[in-house]
Amino acid sequence: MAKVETIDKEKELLSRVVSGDKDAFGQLYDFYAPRIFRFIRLKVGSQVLAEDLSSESFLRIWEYLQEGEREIEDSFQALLYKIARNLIVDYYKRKSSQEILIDDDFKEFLEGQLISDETRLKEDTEAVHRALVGIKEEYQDVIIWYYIDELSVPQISKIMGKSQGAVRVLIHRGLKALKEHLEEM
Amino acid sequence: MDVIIRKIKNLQRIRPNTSWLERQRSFLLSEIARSQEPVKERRPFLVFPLFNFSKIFRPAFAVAFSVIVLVSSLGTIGLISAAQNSLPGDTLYSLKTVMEKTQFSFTADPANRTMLSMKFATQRIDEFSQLIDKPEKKADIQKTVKKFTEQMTTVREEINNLKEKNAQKAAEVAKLINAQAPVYEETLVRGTEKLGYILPGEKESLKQDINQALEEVNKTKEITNEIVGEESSTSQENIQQAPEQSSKPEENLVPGTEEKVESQSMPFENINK
Repeated sequence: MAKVETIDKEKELLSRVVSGDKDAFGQLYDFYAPRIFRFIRLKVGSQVLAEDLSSESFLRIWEYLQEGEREIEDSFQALLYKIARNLIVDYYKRKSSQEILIDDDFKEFLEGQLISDETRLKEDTEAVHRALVGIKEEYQDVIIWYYIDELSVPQISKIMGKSQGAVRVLIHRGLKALKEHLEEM
Repeated sequence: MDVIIRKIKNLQRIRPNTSWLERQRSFLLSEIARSQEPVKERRPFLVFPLFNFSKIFRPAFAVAFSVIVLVSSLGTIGLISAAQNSLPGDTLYSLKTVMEKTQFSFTADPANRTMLSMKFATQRIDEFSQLIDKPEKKADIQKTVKKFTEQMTTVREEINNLKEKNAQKAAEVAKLINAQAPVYEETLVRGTEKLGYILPGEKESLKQDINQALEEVNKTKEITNEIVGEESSTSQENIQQAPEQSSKPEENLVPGTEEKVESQSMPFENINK
């Protein structure tokens, strides 16, 4: 499956996954893996860590969906982003307590991603990323979801468990905070 | 604001490495498949046909053999069996390695020595696959990978030695090693993929050891392929020099190329005849 065309299709795949269908899970992986990797990659400094947390997110969602009779209220997308977000938070908690040091290689990573682009564009993109990781966690999330992943406000409100109005406010404030950070740099 | 939004959208171009995506997909699906299998008693996942004693335990012999074993060496056999199932770091693991060394030093036949060294390599990889799920044994994981690497060097030395003494037998054993090598590679690669979330802080140093182990497997494969190739061309030359024998069925003309070794058990039994 190149793309999950409709919400119905995703629902159907999700119910197949709940009944243990790993091929359905593979189809959801194909669609969501690049997005979940990007979401994590933008929030953690290391490529290795982003790959590991992406992988762990998929393993965790599979295990979650296999845990007995479960009423799934969320969409696969909402669940996956929630899991990924929790894993990132857990990682940083552990990092502060265990001092696990992993090098930040985002600049080198970006060089590889924008290989044929102008230096100016690379610098701009890197600056935006630096500003992004400098703002509040909640703001980072809504900006990534709304502007980069292009999720709708209702979709974001499901992931965050907040009202649509609250999400709109967060997007507005997040963008303002990002602009301020960019201007300070 | 539009300018900032445009700049933010540039980050949409961030994508994971395609080969990582594919590797990860197969890793996840294989993990899922494994989790769906019924739980079995822990035992080595690679059964080495040469040392498969199950055939001895035919019903006719089973009772007599059990009585002899129970009466004569109840304590010892229990200890040995426990040692064989032990993992690096366990109390009985040193007994396991001593037994291996003893067995190896009492084996004189070059073919058996090669296969024995391969059996020990298989045991190291089996231990690695069991240890990788136990982050508390991280020091032992690294040691086991290094031991596996050393064992692969021994396999290479032994097959080279065998080749000098009996090229045909060396080709047969080389085919078995070739059949086993992908299992080693897969286990090591799968281990690398698991490392990140099991031992995130240790990943890099262990990854280096695993890469070295993979390199050793590759070097061994190069030699075994060479041995199989040389033996095939020698056999072909012999056939061309003896045209009177060419009335044999065509599939038997080029030993080594007519069959792919899918199962290890058949060739191992043949070698030991």
